[in-house]
Amino acid sequence: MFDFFEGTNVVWFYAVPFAIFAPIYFSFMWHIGLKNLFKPDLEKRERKRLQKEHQERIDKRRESKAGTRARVDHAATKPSTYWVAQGAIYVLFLFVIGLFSAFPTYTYLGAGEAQIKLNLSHPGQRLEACVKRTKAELAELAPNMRAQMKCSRERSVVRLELDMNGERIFTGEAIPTGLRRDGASSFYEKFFVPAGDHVFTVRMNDGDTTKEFTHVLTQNVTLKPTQNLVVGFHANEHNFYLK
Amino acid sequence: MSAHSTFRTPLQNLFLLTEKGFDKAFGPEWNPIRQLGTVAFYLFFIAAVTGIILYIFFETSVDGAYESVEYMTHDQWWFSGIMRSLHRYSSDGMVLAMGLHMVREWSFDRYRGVRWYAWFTGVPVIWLLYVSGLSGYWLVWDELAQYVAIGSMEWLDWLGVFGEPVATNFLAEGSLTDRFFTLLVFTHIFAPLFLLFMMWVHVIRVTQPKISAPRGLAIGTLVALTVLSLVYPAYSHLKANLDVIPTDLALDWYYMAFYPLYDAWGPAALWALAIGGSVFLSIMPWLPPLKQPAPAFVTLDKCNGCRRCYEDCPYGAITMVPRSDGLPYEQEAVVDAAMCTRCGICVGACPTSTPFRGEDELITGIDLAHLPLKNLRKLVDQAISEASDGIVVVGCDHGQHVDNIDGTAPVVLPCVSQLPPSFIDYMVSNGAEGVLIAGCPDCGCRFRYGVQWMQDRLEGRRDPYLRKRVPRERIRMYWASPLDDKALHAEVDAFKTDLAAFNKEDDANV
Repeated sequence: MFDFFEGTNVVWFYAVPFAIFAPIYFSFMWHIGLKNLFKPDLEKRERKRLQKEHQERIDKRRESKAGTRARVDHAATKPSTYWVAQGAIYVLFLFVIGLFSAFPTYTYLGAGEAQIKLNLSHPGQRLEACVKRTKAELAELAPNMRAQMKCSRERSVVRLELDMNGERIFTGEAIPTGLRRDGASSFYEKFFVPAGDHVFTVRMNDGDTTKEFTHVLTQNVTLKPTQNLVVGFHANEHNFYLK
Repeated sequence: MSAHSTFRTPLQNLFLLTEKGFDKAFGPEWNPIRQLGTVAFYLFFIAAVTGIILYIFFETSVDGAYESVEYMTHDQWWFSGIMRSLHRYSSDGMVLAMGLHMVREWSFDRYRGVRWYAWFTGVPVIWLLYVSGLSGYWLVWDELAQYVAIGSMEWLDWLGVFGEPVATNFLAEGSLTDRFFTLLVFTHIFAPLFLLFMMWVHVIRVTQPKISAPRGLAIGTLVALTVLSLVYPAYSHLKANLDVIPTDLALDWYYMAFYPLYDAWGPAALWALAIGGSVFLSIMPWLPPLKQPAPAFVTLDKCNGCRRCYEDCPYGAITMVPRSDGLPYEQEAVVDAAMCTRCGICVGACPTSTPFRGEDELITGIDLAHLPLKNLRKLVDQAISEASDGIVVVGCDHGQHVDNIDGTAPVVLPCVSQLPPSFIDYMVSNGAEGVLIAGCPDCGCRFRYGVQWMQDRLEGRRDPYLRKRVPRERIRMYWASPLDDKALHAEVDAFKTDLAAFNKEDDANV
């Protein structure tokens, strides 16, 4: 059983704040409109009274004259059908609200399917390699700017491929984020695949022009129905993972 | 017939027909179809109050959220469980009320001209309502929340404004942190606050905006939603598990109808739909713009700064400013053309709008350019002479059809409230047997307060009053749907009979 209040001082955490804030809150709600639910609208009541009196005078005159017929006022007469009809409309309203609040059911994932989420965020290699500053170069810099290595900011685009059972299911490039293109390149893709045994190969080139791919992983995976398989990249260990 | 009218007129008739039917069940004052805006406000307040109550019992952590909602739903069903269901159904009802309100205003052509502002500011209200509602679904942290949260984040990520995709927060079990979950909670608190602010902006330009639903309707709605909460309480799906993909989902279609579209079309198409739809809605008031006659104008030497037009204008188009012409009055009225609906209610409110003058002197403090007081008296004179049974029926351009009623002659105005009470005195003094004012039912007036002000003036509750010498038996007010032609004809017949009886009694007294 869910022990909601366990370990909580009910008095100080609930009762006291409630006692303090409930009147403030209620007072606020009262002034912005709650009062209209409870307080009779005097002006409206007075208007209705005058209308009723006016109508009664007309009806009285009519009744006193033979041959005149009573006036039908839809708003004034409230037979039992009035309340029944009102109830029926409320039921219709509830039906419409209740029905579409949960029906019809939507099937997001087909039976026997699983999902692969290809997600990684990895900074590509710098477009220009870092160079070590000479002593003279360091001396020219302000003391707080004297970093040993001089690096360009812009990074390479990252190229990524994902194969399933030898067939390419994704290939793409991601440019680095940031106005100076100095951030990480991110991929976020999802695929629905049949559950069962599959061989996945994921390859990435993060900017090394001498190689076709800098990182590659091939792995057999048995996917259960409704499973969410994440294909990602460990930033610290610099390798792919499937889990 | 324009393309606009081709679609609009059948819808308008459908609304009128529904209103007419609902009048029989609710009466004009409580009729929910005419109260869609106030009902939406009311449902917002139900959702706000129940939301605050739910927050007391809600645990704002990834692990505790679902359990706390389950506790409310099952263990404490008799209180917070009902509050939860009320919270959901009132939010759903708000989408329904808002949608119908929008379609109704469009079908009645109440979104162009001066009303562009309310229409235009209504578009962000739609967005904020959806953000408020959907962020609430995230907090349950069940399979539905998982589906909606991931779908929403993926959709946002498509814009590319975040450094890393936000959806990675929902990558696998353990990815979602309490800190991020707290952010979702804050979204659900601040979005409704912004929503309330925009709802205020939405109605800010009209005077005396109606934001409180009539008491009977409010109580009925609350009772009905409570009954629904008891009979069909809101339940959660299974607890969210980011390692498992939900399959069958009981979507709340009021808020989530776009998600299956997202799955089918992808983010780009849905953004195109959302942005394109919003832009289209926003510019609708100018597609094409409403053609209007010149606005009301003030004739300063006839204006004594009495403020009656200022108080009666339903759109705040009149402001009172310090006197500029040296006459010994404190203020003068100034009309803001951009706010004026050309309804003429101000003319009916002006104490100088009297027909008991020579034609050259028929100038009033405030008047309509397309139907000035002079022309109004000509219309009235013509009606008096043409009414074979002596009854003049005063109607408006948008309400009941007052033409072609046997034995009567019509006077059709932009709004019945343009007719100053002194004109009724004038009609009766100049031979009219009776004057029947035919307008829309309570809350159905195109110009909001036209019917109410007219009734108040004639019944002595609002300036300018009808003089006592006018026999009230010769005046009849009849407020009904524009589709109630038969009832109007019957009312005229009854009025004729009553007038005949009154005349007999009058003769006998003489």
